[in-house]
Amino acid sequence: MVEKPIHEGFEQIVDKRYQLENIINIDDLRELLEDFHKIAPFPVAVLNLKGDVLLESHWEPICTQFHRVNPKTAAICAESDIHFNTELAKCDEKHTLYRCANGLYDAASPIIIGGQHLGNFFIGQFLLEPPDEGFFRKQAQRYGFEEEKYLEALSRVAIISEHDLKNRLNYLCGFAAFLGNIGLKECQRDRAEEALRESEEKYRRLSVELEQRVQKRTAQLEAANKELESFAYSVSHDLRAPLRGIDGFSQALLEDCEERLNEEGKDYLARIRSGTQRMGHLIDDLLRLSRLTRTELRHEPVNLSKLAEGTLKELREGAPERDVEIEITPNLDTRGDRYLLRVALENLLGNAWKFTSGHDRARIEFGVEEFEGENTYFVRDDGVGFDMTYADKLFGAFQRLHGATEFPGSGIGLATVQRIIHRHEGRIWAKSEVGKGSTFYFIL
Amino acid sequence: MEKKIILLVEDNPDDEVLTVRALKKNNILNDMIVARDGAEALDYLFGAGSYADRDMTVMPQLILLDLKLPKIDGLEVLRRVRGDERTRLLPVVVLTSSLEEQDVIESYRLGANSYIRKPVDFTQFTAAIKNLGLYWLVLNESPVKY
Repeated sequence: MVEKPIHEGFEQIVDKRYQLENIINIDDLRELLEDFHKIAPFPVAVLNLKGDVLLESHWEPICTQFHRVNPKTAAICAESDIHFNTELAKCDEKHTLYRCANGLYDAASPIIIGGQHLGNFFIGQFLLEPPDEGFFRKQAQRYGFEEEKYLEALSRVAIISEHDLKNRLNYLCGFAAFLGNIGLKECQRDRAEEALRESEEKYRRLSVELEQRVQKRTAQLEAANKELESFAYSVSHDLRAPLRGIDGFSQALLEDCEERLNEEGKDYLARIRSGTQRMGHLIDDLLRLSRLTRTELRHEPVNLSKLAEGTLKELREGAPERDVEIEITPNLDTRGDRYLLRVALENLLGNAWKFTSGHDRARIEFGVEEFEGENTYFVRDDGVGFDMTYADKLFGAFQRLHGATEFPGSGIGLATVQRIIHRHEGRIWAKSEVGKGSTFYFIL
Repeated sequence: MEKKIILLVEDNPDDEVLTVRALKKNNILNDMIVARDGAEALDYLFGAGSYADRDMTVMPQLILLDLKLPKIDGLEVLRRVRGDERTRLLPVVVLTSSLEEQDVIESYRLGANSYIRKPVDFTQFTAAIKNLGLYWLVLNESPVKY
């Protein structure tokens, strides 16, 4: 079958798998045509391109009772149908008129949907002039029709004037075009629905895929977390045990063999002990840091000002001789994990306290200011400060910007603070100048 | 009155020596039975294995129990001690390196009388041993009568 696109560009709208009968509701159409032809009776048919009669209405008895019943004449009918299909496919005409080998006239117009020729609309089984009775008698003899009844059926066949033929052909073409348009709309709707279904299906598939990926990653994270936990567990057990041994036996040596050790020997042992104790603290800090990421985060109202006051009060009690001016903005309320935020403030304020310890008079401030439209808390001191060149090292674990002899500490404090702030989905950064003090800002 | 026995369940020989030393330094001179794993501790307590012939009328006054042990771990030892009529009233002090919350909670849940984390600093360690010895062996009135 030659496909002849009539409306260029619409080809892809009608899927090749579409059949006319799948696009147009044939039952509805039959009902409509039967009603219509009660008023203006003439035979019509809708055929698909394979030649299947999808719909027939008001067919002449000469066809239904004779021509299409006898196998030989039926073959002639089929031949005519195929001829029509081929003719319509080949030519550009809106219709074709044809005299069938059984002696009647048919006219057909193609039903074209979205540029694809899917079927034909027929009107037919009429005569254009009074029939040649001799021809039909011969037919009756040849195919064994009961002559009288056959001729009676023939007499019922309409003989159409030229004017009438023109009207019928207009109707034929108009209706075929109308069916084509309806079909196109139907296809467009189907296509839109299919596209929607496809995109829904795609979306569903994607979300299932995403869900699976999330589950997989979560499982991996959980496994990693488990590993971290068991690592932390063995660190706390296995690394501390030998340290205790080193420290304990150094002390035992000092106690039991004191008279055999000179000052230098005693000093070495004291250094061994202070080293092991320091390492013990490092391990403890490390464990505490890892525990911070493992405990569940609570969301509760937290008064940061109160936490800061409490922390500074403790610091003051630890060093009552120091002259430190403290300014805390009252009622800084937020939401978060009270315990973790206290740990964070303890570290920040503890640092401020520590790094101002060389000053006769010091000032520590905790407050809030607006930065990029967000409430930004800050801890400010006028202590030793640090070189901003090393600011990127500030929040790394075990990173220290000051020597241990200058200021004590394990270098875990700011890493802890950063982890706490990050767990609150916040940010932390610092500004400082050597000798002029530091300010730590954080957003929760 | 018979001498009070301490059962020390400890697999680390250094910790064993240090614990004994700390007890001696504090004049706690009780007899000490040392079990190097959980199975040995249970053998002693229930008179099985190499302790099959021991006098079962004698029970330790105090069990010092490490948690991370070969064969049978400390928590399992604790569970069995508390599950047996002969031993369920014995004071058990968990003496361990771990400060893991789940260990602390699980130990108390299973009926530990105390939970002490061994400090790295030997001075602190000695002080801790002194305190627990004083409390459990001298001050505390034991339900186990001799």
